[in-house]
Amino acid sequence: MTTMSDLPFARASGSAASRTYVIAATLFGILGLAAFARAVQKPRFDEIDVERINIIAPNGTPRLVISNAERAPDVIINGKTYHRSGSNEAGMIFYNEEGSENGGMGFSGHTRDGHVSANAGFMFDQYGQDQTVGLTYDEQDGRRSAGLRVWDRPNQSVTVLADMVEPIKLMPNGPEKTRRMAAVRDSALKLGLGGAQRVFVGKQTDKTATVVLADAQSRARLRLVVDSAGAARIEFLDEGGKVIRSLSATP
Amino acid sequence: MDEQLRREIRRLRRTTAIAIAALVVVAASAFVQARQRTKFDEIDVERINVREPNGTLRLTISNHARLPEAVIGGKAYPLRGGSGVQSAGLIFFNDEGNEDGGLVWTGQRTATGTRAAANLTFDQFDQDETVSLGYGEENRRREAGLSIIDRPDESIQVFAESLMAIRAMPDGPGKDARMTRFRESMEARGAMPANRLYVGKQADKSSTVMLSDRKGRPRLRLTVDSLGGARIEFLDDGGHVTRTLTGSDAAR
Repeated sequence: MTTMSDLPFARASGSAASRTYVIAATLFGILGLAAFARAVQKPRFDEIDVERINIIAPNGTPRLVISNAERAPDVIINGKTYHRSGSNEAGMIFYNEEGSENGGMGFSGHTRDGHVSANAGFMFDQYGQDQTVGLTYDEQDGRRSAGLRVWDRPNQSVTVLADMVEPIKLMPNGPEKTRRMAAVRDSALKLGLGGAQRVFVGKQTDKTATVVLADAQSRARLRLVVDSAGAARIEFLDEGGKVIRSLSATP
Repeated sequence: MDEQLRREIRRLRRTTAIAIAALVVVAASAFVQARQRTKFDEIDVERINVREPNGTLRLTISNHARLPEAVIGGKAYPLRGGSGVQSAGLIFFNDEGNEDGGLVWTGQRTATGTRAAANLTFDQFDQDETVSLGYGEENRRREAGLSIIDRPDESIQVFAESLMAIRAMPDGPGKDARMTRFRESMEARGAMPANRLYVGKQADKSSTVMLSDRKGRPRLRLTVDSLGGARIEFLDDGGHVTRTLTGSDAAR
């Protein structure tokens, strides 16, 4: 202290100012570190704008992607990527423990050249396969359907069909692509790779409200209907789609 | 010499002052950024908590490792999953911060085959799921559909507390007997759930619409079975079919 006081520039006031600087700098340093530590560990936001959120397992496996249409992921099954049958949509894609897509929720709607096109779907996939239960809404220029659907899917992996379809999806649009796609879908149907819709509960484009139970070949066999004019009936159908018995309020 | 030192000190003080000012700006901006609307192109995250301004949790979006435990009456119960199921997804919470539904999914190969499940469920207040859209599979036995379930009026906390107490007991006949008594007392006071409606497909490969009474007994059933046979059945409270309508009854 004595030595310091002896120095002409070490005035008491200057010394106090230096200490203040040091303390302040240290405090702000701690504050800065705390702010960054918080940002790294569990940051808190009032609101975030984001184009895509990946919820990942500790080992990095995706379990959920929430995204806009632009960043929506293609189909990933057993580590392999496939193009989607429709276009990628905004929404959520779910993944199982193995990182394979197993469901999702997508929505879109637009008016283009005066034509309205909208749809929304919420789907759970059978393991290793396509959707087995879902809620859907679809509209084309005021023709609307909406409801609950249940599907049978084959035991074989969806990749069998996807591997057949993928090279065709990469072809340029045109009659050749359309022809080959139809051919593949046809043979897939014969091989039982497609599946069957077993249940529909909802409304259809013909403005009926309905419950449809179908057989393992997707053929409606029992149907409850209230049609667009309000007429109610229960119908049994044969394999050919012919109504073989109809029950209504007036026997 | 003194003058040179003085100049150096002044320069040092200026530098320190500038550094502190810069630190203030940086530190403050970090907090300001955390409070406002933040923009990301893409983020990887293991869990997102959506909270009310007072901190009440309303939604978690997470992987399995960070899936929250069931919160009932403000208390967390480790009742979820078990047996290697590793569901990920969304858990919903009501205004009081208690779990009131969720959207979860799981699917994996097992030692014996495959196991998968996915559910969107909404819970009755202070109870378990009352409406559920779901799919379940165990070694190719599959179910998928919509279920509506009656739940008892009593809080699920009664069930959770009892179950936790029984689980804490050592395995053995004493534990088994306690579990049986627990189930019996729930049945006796009408605290068991009852399925009221199911629309979907069943493990026997039928597609069905099933309406049940308040005890969960199917009383009206529309079915298209695995072979395409269609029928409407009325059932009594013992599960016996008392009337059947089919397509071939047309002449009757």
